[in-house]
Amino acid sequence: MKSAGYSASDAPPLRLLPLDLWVPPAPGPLLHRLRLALAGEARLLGGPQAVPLRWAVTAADPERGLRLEGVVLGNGAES
Amino acid sequence: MSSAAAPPLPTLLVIPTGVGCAIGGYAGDGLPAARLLAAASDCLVTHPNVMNGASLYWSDRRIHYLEGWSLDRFAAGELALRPRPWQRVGLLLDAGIEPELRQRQLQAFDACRATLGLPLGPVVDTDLPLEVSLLLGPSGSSWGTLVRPDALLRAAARLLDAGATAIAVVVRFPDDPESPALAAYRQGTGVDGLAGAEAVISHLISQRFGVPCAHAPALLPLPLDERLDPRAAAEELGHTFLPCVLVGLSRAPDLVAPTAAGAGVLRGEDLGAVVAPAGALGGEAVLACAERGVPIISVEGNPSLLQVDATALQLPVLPVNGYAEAAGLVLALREGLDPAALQRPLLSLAG
Repeated sequence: MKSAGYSASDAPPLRLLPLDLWVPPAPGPLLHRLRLALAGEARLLGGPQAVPLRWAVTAADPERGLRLEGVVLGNGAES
Repeated sequence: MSSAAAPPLPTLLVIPTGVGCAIGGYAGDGLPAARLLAAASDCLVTHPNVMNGASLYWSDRRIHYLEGWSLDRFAAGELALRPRPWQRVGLLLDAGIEPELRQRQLQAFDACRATLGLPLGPVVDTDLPLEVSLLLGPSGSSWGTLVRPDALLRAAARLLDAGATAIAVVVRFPDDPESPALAAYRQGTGVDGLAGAEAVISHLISQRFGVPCAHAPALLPLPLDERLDPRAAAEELGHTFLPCVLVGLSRAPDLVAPTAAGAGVLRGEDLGAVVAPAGALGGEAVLACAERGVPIISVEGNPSLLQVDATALQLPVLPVNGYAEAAGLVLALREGLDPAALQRPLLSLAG
């Protein structure tokens, strides 16, 4: 396994950011809805290339929906 | 009429990290459950949090050791696992580790070569200290961050270029021997405050490079605690937490594309069951399995600080009281038995 050219010169400055998000109840496949919400929140927090690195549903509320906690890998852009 | 043994039933065992699970939330204390489920299923996929007991470990060819980011991708059908006889495990050391503590890690590395015969090396230090911070999320679950994630990735790249096929990471974690949270953990009532940050570290490397990875923290030895809980005791046996990581990674499967050809490639679509704590069903792997119709065995007898259950998520589950019952259910599924046939009352299908 090679590192596919990853090096200091081409590495963007990375940041790890906490994510805390409520996803309101809605119809449709659950995982798809959660992924969409996570992707949007990640971009908001960490820039256009940011991705959720680790997440889980940590609470459920009939009114507010599902609470997601996690960590976003941002690419250096400020929100 | 008797028959040969049923084929394996690939089973996923998830015990979420850093949420205080009564079983598996400490120092590899999910391992007995993993061993039992491996025997029942003949093919178990699980993650380092379940298997790692610092100096204690169990190597079983039926158990596939898979870090959490990769496990989620596997469950979602986005990558597959190709078992291999061995991995060359490289060691990535945080430049923030003091010389004496660093030497302890290297001696553990050497010990696993000499005593277990594992193919290990090379060793790479990060070019800057990684500077870990440990934090708790709103739910009380542990997580953490690195000031310099890119220094971690640069070191990982150097290891892979030097021939490693899997990466064991040792990062200097903050010592806080007087903290009430650590005391609670050691006495069996708290959350593993390191686990969330460890997961972030291994996720970073697996996500970027697609190789097996696991983490062991570098910490100074703790003072003796007379009230140490047996579930946390494995972490007090030695100077490092590295041996379990090296053993686990040494037989970890390769991570390959879901379209990869070849005998023995294990895909998410092959999963026949997933086993998870009843109150912690909200992880990506379990939700992906639910979406694919994989039976979810929810273990009531493994409480944590989360209460995200089947009702909250509107998931169909097979509830069980503990891992022994879960193993029986896995065996039933493997044998092609309808779990409903094992319970009473048995409702008529005739209406």
